Amino acid sequence: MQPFIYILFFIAIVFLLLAFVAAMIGIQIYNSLILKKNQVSKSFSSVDVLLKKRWDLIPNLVAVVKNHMEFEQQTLAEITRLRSRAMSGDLSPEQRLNTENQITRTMGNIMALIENYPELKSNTHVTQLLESLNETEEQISAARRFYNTAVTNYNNAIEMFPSNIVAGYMKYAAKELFVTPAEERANVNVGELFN
Amino acid sequence: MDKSLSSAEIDRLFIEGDRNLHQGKFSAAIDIFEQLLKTIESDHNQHFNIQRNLVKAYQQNEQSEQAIALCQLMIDSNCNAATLWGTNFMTRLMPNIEQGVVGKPGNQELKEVPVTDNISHHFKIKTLSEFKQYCQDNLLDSLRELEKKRVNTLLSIVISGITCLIATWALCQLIFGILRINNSIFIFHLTALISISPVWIAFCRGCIQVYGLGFKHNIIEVIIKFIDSQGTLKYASNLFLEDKRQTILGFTRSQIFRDELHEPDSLEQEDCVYGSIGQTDIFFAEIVVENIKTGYLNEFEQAEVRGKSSLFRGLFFEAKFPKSFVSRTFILPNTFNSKLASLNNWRGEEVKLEDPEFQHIFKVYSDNQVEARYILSTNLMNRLVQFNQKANRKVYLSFIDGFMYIAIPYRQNLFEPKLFTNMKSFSPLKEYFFDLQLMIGIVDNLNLNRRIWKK
Repeated sequence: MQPFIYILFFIAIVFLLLAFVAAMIGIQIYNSLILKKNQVSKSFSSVDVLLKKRWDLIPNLVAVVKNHMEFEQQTLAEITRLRSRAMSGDLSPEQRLNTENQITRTMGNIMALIENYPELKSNTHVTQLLESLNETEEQISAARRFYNTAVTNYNNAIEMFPSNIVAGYMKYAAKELFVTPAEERANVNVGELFN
Repeated sequence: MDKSLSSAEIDRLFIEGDRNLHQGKFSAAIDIFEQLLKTIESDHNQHFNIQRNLVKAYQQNEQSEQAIALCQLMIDSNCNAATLWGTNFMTRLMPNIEQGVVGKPGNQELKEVPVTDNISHHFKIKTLSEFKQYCQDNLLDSLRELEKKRVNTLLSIVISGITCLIATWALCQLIFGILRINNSIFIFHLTALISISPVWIAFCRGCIQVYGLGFKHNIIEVIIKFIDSQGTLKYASNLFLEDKRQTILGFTRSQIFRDELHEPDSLEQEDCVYGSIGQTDIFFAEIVVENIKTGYLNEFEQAEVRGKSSLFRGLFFEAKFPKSFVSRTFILPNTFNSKLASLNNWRGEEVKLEDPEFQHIFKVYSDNQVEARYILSTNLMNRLVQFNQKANRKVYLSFIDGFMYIAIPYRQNLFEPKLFTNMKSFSPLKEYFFDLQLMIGIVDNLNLNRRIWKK
């Protein structure tokens, strides 16, 4: 009987060890998933801060150019409307993203139009404003890239084995990347405006 | 190209053309834009953008006639935006032309406004053939003189060496004669030779120093003047005291090799170039940074032993970066050491970027993930990859307090006259030219004169 007890005892220890190792791996995966999810939230908040910074610059831009762009009043009205919409706070994340993309596009058009007004281009105030906008646009682009990297890491983790098991248990779903539409990429070329 | 291109395909081709234009592949950009213009109708929403980029591509590719013709076409078009843009751009293409010739009567008010160009200075990269021609025209006399000095120096060294040998032998023979020793002892000869060798080495050093006199002024400074055709850079073979202190502070601030708490124990610099290229102030020099090892007592506990360890030897570059940032970003070559997180903890978090080629060459650490990406735009990453290929050696960069620092390690002493190479041949000159143009060209290669951001 005694050897049988030893074997049972040995098997129990092996099971306990295996359970311990599995639990440790599970905890590690769980923590890394939480870390990745938080990284996504952190990166999104970076984008959010910069988008709000851009909201503050829009009224200045409109005020400066409205006297010069007589035949483009529609564009200026459009950007004001989009800004109010984005600031309203009752948009779903998808709608918000869409609105911000439209703002980027419209601002790109306004800046391209400014290129056609030499008196605007030579105005110091406009130049400073454009520099601020260019800086903000570039920062937004950097924050977007950070967000996309964080989302890609997160999506990889929840789709790869064995972390997908823990992610399924935690009901984590894949997140959307911050994709810049082709049209926007083509139109907004801020850096090139003065070249 | 197929006439029935979808809107998405047109967008894709436009982006490809736009990318080629930015990367300086003007011919490829022109091909794409020309094909697109043939394909799409004039009322297409991309028509104006394509025309605009095509004019720029023509201009950059030095096809002025085509650029002017297309600009004129835009001026005559029904699209207001195209007409205005075309009129403005025509003034750049033909600065001396009477604007009334190309402008429409309705745009009179625009013609009176001067168009200001934001880029006041453009650094032109010189080609090797231009440099060769320049050397033949301007440096030939100096090189002949240098070659003469080199041959004389070599002769002096060889003759003095032989004289030393003979003198040692004669002295030994004399001593053997006086002491009446019949068999000459080899070890005695050797000892005499070793005792006399420091004198000979000191003589050789003196010869080499005399050979190098005037070299920096007559050759290196002239090469810098050739590269910097605008004459905005200054050269000093040596800078002392206060200026050296600035370099020490710059090197410490850069934190490329160590954090800022550690100032190097010793820094020597030579071949300093400073001044501005366009709106960017630059400084670079060949530096040797060493740390003195803490003294310890030898095994007899009688004398303190101190040693030096080299921290960096090579070219160190410093320039103001055109973007504002507050965090620290480090770009290191992708080596085993830079991969070890434990060795680089003090540099911040690792930043994983999207460009696979850049990721393959470099490892990036930063305190701030967003700012690192703000500094390292896709364009700059691409330019850094190209710069690394040009340098063809390890390149270290850091972005701190609004400054950009670059360190390129070299094993040998740079910008020195060669003793065993014919100085009239082009190869040593090519080497000096390559290294100097690499450093002076950083501003242009990394587009540091681009000022569209608030600073």
